[in-house]
Amino acid sequence: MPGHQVPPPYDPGLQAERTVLAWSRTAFALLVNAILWLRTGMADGDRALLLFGVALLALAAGFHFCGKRRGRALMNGARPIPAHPALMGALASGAALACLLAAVASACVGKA
Amino acid sequence: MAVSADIIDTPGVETMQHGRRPSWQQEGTEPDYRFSLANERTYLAWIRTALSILAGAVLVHQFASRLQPRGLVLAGTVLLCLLAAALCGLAYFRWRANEIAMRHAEPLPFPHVIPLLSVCLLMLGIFVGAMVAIA
Repeated sequence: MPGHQVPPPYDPGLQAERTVLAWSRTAFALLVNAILWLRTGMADGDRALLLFGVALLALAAGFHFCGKRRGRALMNGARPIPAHPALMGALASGAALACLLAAVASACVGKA
Repeated sequence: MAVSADIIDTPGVETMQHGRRPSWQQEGTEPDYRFSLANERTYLAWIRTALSILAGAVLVHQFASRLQPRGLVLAGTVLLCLLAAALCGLAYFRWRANEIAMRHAEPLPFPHVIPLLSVCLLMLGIFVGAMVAIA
């Protein structure tokens, strides 16, 4: 709820901050992959690869957005603390699907 | 620690940010928040490992154009992508297993994925080294 101020929990280990940074690092790792595939798509003039790169960009944005929301919830002292399994499962499946699509793409492209 | 007293889970509580949780996440007691968040960061680290392997696969596919035979290079690339996909799935199941173990104050499950990953990468290193040496 916006405007609903809860004092942040005592956190000398900066747990929330480190967790948010881990989320954004992961989003960056996806961003790098997205750029690599966009580059491949542009170099080969392949629409499907460009589309794949855009999908990876969207997934990176998803990770970034989830991380931001998670950080806000943690710093506001939201309960319960553990992440929602649906969120973790959805992101892991998204990343796994991207890897499988990459396997298919790299088998089909650049045989010469 | 004083904080842990008020962290005890209240099952059935639903908020707008958190939908209904599965039963395994309502059994036992909620672990210390530091452990939950460390588990979450470990999950993210596994996802990043998978993404680094994926990026490596793309780089080999795109830039190792002089490495012959091409078919073998492509096969290696596909295998790397599949390894990355497997790591993404394992990241989730490992996070879940750790979470369950912590809720019941049991020992954390042995990370079988670590020797698996090491062996895969070792074999890949030897394989690529041999290919470069031959070419």
